[in-house]
Amino acid sequence: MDWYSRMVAWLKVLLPLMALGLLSTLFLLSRNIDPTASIPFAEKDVQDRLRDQQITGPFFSGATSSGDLISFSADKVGRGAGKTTAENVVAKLDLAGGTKVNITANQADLSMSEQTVTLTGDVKITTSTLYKVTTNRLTSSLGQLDIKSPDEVQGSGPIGQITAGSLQISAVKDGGPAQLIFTNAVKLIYDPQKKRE
Amino acid sequence: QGTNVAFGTIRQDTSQPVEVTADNLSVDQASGTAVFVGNVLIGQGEMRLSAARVKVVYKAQNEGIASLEATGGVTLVSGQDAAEAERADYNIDSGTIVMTGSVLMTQGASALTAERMSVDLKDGTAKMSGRVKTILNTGNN
Repeated sequence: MDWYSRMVAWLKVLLPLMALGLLSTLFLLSRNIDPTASIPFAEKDVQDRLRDQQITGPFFSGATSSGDLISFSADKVGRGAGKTTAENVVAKLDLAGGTKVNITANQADLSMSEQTVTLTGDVKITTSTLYKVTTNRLTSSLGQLDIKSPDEVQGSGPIGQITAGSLQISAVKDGGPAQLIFTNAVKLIYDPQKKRE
Repeated sequence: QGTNVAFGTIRQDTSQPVEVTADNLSVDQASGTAVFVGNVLIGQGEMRLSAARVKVVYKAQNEGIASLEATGGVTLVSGQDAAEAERADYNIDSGTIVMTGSVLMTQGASALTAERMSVDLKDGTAKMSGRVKTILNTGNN
């Protein structure tokens, strides 16, 4: 037997052994997953979850009779103390006339029985007709396009800075285009030189 | 032809900010037109223009306001001159107010009526045309 066939014979033994060794490391040395390790949840979170139901990342959308699309999304909705409150709410309105209205607020109280939602806390309304309005409270009905902001409203638009006692977004004539109505004591300041951005 | 009359005391700088106060402002979200309704008062510098209803006319691509159309009985006061008419178009950039519809202008004791009056705020003059009738009250009674 010359050296070549002896070497092949030895390899025939060594190579499978190495393969076997490699294969065994797959099972013996791998990280074992401890099924009993607890999922990282704060104690308070667990208590909250137990006390009242909670939905994270809710999304709610509907259409009004005149064809405007209303959609609400929020970080989380909780059903605490008898009312449904949502946090960091974003409401998007796609009006039949083609304009888009975005409303953001820190908090929203949803009352399904009256089909209304009340947004509070730094409410910002921006419309695709370049109107930006801020107020601190705003109620919107979910059935038809009827958004009211009873308190002080400040805003700016293509025609300048606007302050008003209250604001309403609704379609004046049924099915007609939606109107942004500033009421009780409107004040507008238009600066001719300021170039519109 | 028409009579040229001095109107308002001082030359007005028409680049001052314009202030509009009203009871209601409704902005049509489809076309974007803005209408002030309910004892509207437009003010710039010395000039005060009050009307029942004012429609905002935009420049191209929302670059700003081209003019304000005041209707429903308009009174214009600038300095100690006053004028009344049915309708007024106030062009902010050029600083001209065109008043039409039975214009009545009072200056101190005398009064002028005409069909149409265009006031130039920049150099404080007014040009009245269309059946101008003046009542000069010499006031020696």
